[in-house]
Amino acid sequence: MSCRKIRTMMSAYVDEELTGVEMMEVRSHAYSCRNCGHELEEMARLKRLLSEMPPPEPSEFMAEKIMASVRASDHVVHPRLQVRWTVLAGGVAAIAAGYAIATVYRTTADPMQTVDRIEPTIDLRQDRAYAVGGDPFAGAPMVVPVSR
Amino acid sequence: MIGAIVRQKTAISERDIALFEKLFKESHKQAFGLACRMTGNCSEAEDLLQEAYVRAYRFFDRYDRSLPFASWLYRIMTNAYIDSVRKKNRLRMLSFSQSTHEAPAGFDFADPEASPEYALMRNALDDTVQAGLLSLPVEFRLAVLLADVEGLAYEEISEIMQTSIGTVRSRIHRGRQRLREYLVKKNPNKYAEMMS
Repeated sequence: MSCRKIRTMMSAYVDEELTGVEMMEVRSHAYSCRNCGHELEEMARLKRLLSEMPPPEPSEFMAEKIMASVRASDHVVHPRLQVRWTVLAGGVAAIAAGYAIATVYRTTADPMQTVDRIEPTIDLRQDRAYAVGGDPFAGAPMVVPVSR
Repeated sequence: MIGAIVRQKTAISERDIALFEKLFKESHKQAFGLACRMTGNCSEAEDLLQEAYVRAYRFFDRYDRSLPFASWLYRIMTNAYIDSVRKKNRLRMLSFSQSTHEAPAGFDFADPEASPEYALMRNALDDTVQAGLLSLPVEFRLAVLLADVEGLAYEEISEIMQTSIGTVRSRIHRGRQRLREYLVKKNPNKYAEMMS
């Protein structure tokens, strides 16, 4: 194997990331080739030098500061909206019932007047919910915020 | 006001918060060391670490419990760091293109040894080696640090850096070669001393 090829394998050799056969090839070449042997030795020392660098110590308050940021982020991270379907269904039912009662009432009170039908719908906006339907008396759109 | 129908669901459950805090306690010192060497600046390292843990917390439900937390955190941290370096480079290029019109002779390329951030590291790290690390392209620096300082296997590094093992191997090799060239060029006597 050429010196050039062996040199591309030297880092992986010192990291023990070669196959057994490749490890033997590099070792055997480095033993017989003085330049490659020297380079391999330098590579191993450089790795040792880096691994022995003393680890910097964090400041006394760093951990506390980071965890405080993490906890604070809990309230501002993208909220995942979770629909409470039972309450939602209740809102729809309430509007529908109100609409039906009012229609009957209007029909009884003034059989000559018709009511425009506006289907109740639900509109989810950000973290709020609205039940949207039609005002059975005036026929105007009706938006009811549904909240706790 | 939070509605009755729609409510904000917190990112993770109470039980997971306790687990996250435990993993934080176990990992933050080591992660800080890596961040310092990545950035060459302990103050910037704290900001980077904070960003990484906030992101980790936010996406904690995606963390595979069967894998080491540190590897997952390092992946987040390296991504955040590479993003910030690219952003800085874009700003620098923008600044450069503007300065060519205004003051062409005044533009100064970053010299890791001349920066005030570098001065902050002098007491904590070997200055020449740290300056050499900072002179490396960011991908080479990260690969060398993960292999030599963290002692990770190429497979783990490839997962953290989201690249192939072949690329990791090449980055580490070229990174070490460049680091050695830097040390020989900048301080041949010290390099000889270090290698003796």
